[in-house]
Amino acid sequence: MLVAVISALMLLVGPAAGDVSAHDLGNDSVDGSEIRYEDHTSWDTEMNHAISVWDAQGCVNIAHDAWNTVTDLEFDDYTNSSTSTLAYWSARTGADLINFNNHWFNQMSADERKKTAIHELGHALRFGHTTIANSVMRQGIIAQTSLGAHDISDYDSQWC
Amino acid sequence: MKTRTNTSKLLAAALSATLILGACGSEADTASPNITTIEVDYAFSPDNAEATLAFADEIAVVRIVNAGISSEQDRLPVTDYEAVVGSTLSDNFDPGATIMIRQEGGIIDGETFLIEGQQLLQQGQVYVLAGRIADDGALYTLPGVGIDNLGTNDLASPAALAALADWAILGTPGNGTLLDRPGS
Repeated sequence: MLVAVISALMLLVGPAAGDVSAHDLGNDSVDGSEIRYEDHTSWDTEMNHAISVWDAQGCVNIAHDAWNTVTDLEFDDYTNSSTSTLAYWSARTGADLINFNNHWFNQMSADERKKTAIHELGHALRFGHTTIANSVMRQGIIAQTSLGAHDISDYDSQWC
Repeated sequence: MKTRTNTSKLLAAALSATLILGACGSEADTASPNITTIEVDYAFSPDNAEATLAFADEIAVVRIVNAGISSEQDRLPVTDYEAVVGSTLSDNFDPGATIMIRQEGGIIDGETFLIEGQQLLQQGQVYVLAGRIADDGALYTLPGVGIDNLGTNDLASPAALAALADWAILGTPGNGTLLDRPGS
């Protein structure tokens, strides 16, 4: 019986740790190979840059919500000087949410804001945090405007 | 969850486990809490005590005296707790005073929202908390090393006093906004 239980667990775990499953959130904003978003944030430059970076990978279409689509994700912003939170992604009933904290965004450089936006959209694409060098899924204020090799590998494994 | 990736693997594994447990005479646990994890990017690592101290307004030993009330602020679930103050580093609160503690995360309409890696504060427990003082006077907790459950209900326990002393060795709260910039 023990062997059977372990076999069932191995079926669930799938690939060995070290690939995308090692930081798979188990949840995302993707619906039928696309993310339809609504824009309620003033950080449009950063949002649009993040969308273009991930959309360019080609397997998940990230596009603005239309009259005939269901919103999967909202971009918004708020101001809270009491928290160390730069931004967050939250799965919600209905559209998920990426929310940027103006208190920190106003202190960051343009490239640091872009990294944060790419990072949050990475969560919406199912990717969790990592400490791997050059990954946009590292935490913290980091100037970075493109995906690292590991990010691209994770994306291909997950979505293509 | 808006994707069906890996559903077939999940179903196969679940069916296998159910059949195995059924054969053994065990009942599968069908009751599971509805928990949503909120993924946060922080200005500095929650493990960075120096940065936490620099950003904080206060380090306080408190005992949580109620179960907390959750609400949404800035579209983020937060929970407000009443707490009794034991001791502090910067004297923003008087010993014995009842104050409000605010933590990101909470329970909204039966669904539990947890910030990644965090647990909600527990009634009756003593904590050493690093936090910012919000506009309404609440102590807004910082994550990671900013929340230390001492596993006791004694505000004046040796562990509580020692934990506060450890923070004092690092310095005083609010000595600058130290931003953690990996790679710079």
